[in-house]
Amino acid sequence: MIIIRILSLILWLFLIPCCIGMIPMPWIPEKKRNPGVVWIAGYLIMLPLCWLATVPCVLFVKYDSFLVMARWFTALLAAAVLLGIFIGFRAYKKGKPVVPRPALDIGRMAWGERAVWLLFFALLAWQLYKAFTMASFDGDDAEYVAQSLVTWQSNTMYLIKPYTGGTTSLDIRHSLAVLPVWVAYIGRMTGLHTTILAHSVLPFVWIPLTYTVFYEVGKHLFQEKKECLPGFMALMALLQIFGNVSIFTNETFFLTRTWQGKAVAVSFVLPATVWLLFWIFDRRKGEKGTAAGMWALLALTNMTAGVCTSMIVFLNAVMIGAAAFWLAVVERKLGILVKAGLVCIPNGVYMLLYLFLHV
Amino acid sequence: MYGIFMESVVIFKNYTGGRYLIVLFALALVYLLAAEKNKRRRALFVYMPLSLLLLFFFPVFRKVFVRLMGGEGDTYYRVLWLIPMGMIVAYGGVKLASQLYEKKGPWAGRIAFALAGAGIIFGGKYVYASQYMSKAENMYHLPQNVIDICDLIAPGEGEERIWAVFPTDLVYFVRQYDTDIQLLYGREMVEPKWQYAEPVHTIMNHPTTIDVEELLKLTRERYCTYIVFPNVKDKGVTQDPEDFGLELIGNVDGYPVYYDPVAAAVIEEQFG
Repeated sequence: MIIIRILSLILWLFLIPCCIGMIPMPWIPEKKRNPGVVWIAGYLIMLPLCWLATVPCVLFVKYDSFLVMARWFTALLAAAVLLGIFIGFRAYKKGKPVVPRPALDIGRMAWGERAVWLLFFALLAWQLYKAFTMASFDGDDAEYVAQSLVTWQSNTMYLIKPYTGGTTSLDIRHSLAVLPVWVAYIGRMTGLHTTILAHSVLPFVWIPLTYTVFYEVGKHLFQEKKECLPGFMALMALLQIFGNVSIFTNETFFLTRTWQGKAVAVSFVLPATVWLLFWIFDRRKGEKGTAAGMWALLALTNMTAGVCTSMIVFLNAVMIGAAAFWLAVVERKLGILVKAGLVCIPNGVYMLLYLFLHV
Repeated sequence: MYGIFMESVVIFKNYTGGRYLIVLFALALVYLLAAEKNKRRRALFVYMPLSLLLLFFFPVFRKVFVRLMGGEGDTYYRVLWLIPMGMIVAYGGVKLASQLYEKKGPWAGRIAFALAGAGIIFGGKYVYASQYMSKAENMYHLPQNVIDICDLIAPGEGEERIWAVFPTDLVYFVRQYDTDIQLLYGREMVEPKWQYAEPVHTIMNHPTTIDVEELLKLTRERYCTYIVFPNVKDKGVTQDPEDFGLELIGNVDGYPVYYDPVAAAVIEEQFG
């Protein structure tokens, strides 16, 4: 039974996102592609698909809305997986595999580099070990984690108060940030209690996924000096472990509330936005390939923000706006502001829906 | 406006926790301002963070934020999340180390890298030493005594959900384990900052003694069949609950767990 559960978790949390993540690869320059990018892209597509399946069911389905959502989401995931496999297979047949290179090429490294990579992986392993063996108390779990369990056990969404179990009219404030529903869905599909999933399993997804984003940022920043990349990663890992200077920092959220939407937003969505801004705007002269896939990923990152927490939808737009302003100034291209505005359309739609439902 | 600005200053101070990690960020920012030649990277790692920092202290922005968030000013610190402090510190540190490696020799680079690491360790705070972290007792990462109590009172397969009362220190966890157990009050009542009031919680939250007679008046009105009293070490009761017809079904880790047959009879009579 345990082996089946583990295999099922690998399927839903790693294999399915990786299949889906192949969809945008043909529209991303070949040199930038690697398995890490595919995995990140998988989550940036899967989570918005969850939003698209969930929100209409929350708003319009009266009874057993979670069951209806689960059917729609499964159908959307199946279609996305098939499309991803088709794209990957077609590219392979043409002799241009979707992922042409491994994420890490250990063979070409100097011993010093390998030693620092070892230090980084030791720090990462320490974080994963601690995430599994230590419990973190946070009052918000009474909302987030119980919300997933209520959904899983009652087959309804946002109609039962997670704190007490009393019925309520639709909880609009939380119902647009559907990450707890995604957790409930994974719990339903794997047969795992959603609290075990949130506290003991999901850190093994969110922590490596975040470091994959850091890796992509570092890889971009040190593309001319690849030997510096392990040093960047080791310092990033140290910063997470020692960043608990107060209960408010993103590092504290990352390692003490890893499974909550706010933590996913701050540790995965915001760094992914920075990464994509670098990818899109800091391209080398003569770099080949289209940027369409990267723009699409940035728009999907904005949608993923909405899956995690409503506030980050607004804040991510502020960050993209600030970045676009300065990039437009240094590049002397007003078009950057227009493109940044277009990529924030999902944020605008989300905020309008939020305000409309609140009125 | 000045008052709003000063509030932002306090929020910033609380965010940084008075530790030196923020100094490391400032140093990295200054270093990149001087050393980063790539204008796009300057835009994203110097100008953007500085402008977001200015925005954070700008009173009008704070007003707009609070208005948009429905009056939730206590989450304003999240604006600081937009500044990629960690990436800037790591990039600045490694870039400096690499520059020294090339200009002054390998050892200079290695020492600079080690100093950056030491700066992070000594300027920061180890997350696993936090007062909120403890050794996990099970895969749920919930206190084992809560799980044992829930297993004792949870309805069986196909049975109706039940109502229960738990002491303040346990309410956070009950419904993370089993949502078939409904609570007369939950986390919303026990967070002091929200200042909500609920009569059952008021009785249970009495600092020294629980008035059993008053408590049962309220719980029976609301069809509550299970009552978990606070740990006997912490609080007493005015009278033995069994004098009022309650049945002690267990004592888990010092928490007495009672079944109320009177409330159960009321439910049976009214709902069949």
